[in-house]
Amino acid sequence: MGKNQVRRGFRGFTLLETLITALLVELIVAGLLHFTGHVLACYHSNQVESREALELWNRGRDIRRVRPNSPDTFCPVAGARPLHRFILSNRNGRQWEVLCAEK
Amino acid sequence: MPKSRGATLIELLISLAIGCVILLAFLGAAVPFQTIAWDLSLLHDRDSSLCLAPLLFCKWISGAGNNRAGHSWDGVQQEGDTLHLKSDTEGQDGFPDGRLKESYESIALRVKGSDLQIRSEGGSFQPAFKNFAGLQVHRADDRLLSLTFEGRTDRSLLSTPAEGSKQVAFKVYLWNYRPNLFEETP
Repeated sequence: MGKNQVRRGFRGFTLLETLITALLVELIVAGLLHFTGHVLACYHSNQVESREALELWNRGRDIRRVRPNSPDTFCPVAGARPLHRFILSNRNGRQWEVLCAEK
Repeated sequence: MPKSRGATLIELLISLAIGCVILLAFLGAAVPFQTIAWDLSLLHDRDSSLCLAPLLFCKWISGAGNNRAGHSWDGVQQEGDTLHLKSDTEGQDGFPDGRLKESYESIALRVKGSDLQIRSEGGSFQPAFKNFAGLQVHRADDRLLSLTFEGRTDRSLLSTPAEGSKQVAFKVYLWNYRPNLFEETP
């Protein structure tokens, strides 16, 4: 009894204390990973939305360049030529209005 | 058995082994986190420049690239790697005065080194954005100007051997390149 004692008075860490410490460290690591995953998800979402906005922008410019006819016309000033109106929307429902003159 | 009997050797060994495993697990999670944070910081800098550049250049180009009726100069002109845009849009009285003296009536864009530079009128080229690798200009016709910016990260990424370059193409419609809604009189 007491043959394997390291030092008298130094209790050391019990298994239970070590397991509690392990649990706390695991919680910290899990929180860190969760935060990292959230940041990566935000970055990916931002990338997608940025690319989509740019594609819509370029589509709007292509429409104005080609100037197709649309049944939805808009006359900004009385007497002026009507403008053809096109509505572009992304997957989030945000809408862009493209106006272009007739050919 | 006394309460303060101390830890037995086997308990201490188990604690040390578990402690090492915990430390390794923490480092194993912290190192990738540090790598990701480093790479994301570089990518964020690159992407913020690539997102901001089209907005600013659309504002400048759509004005300077117009070619109103009766002007002798070309609205859009490319010389080598430099893009020139000219348009008389303002004057001292608030109307076009036939000269290109006002701000952003005549601008030039180019990529030199790793800087995207802009020059207004007779000034010198000033860096507008850093870490740009190239600028490509394409004109589908007189009205539509397509610009492709290539940005890159300030330093190499840790997670991938690539330099982290990315291209952004955006189009600028020169809405007043020809008489548009009403016939213009110079």
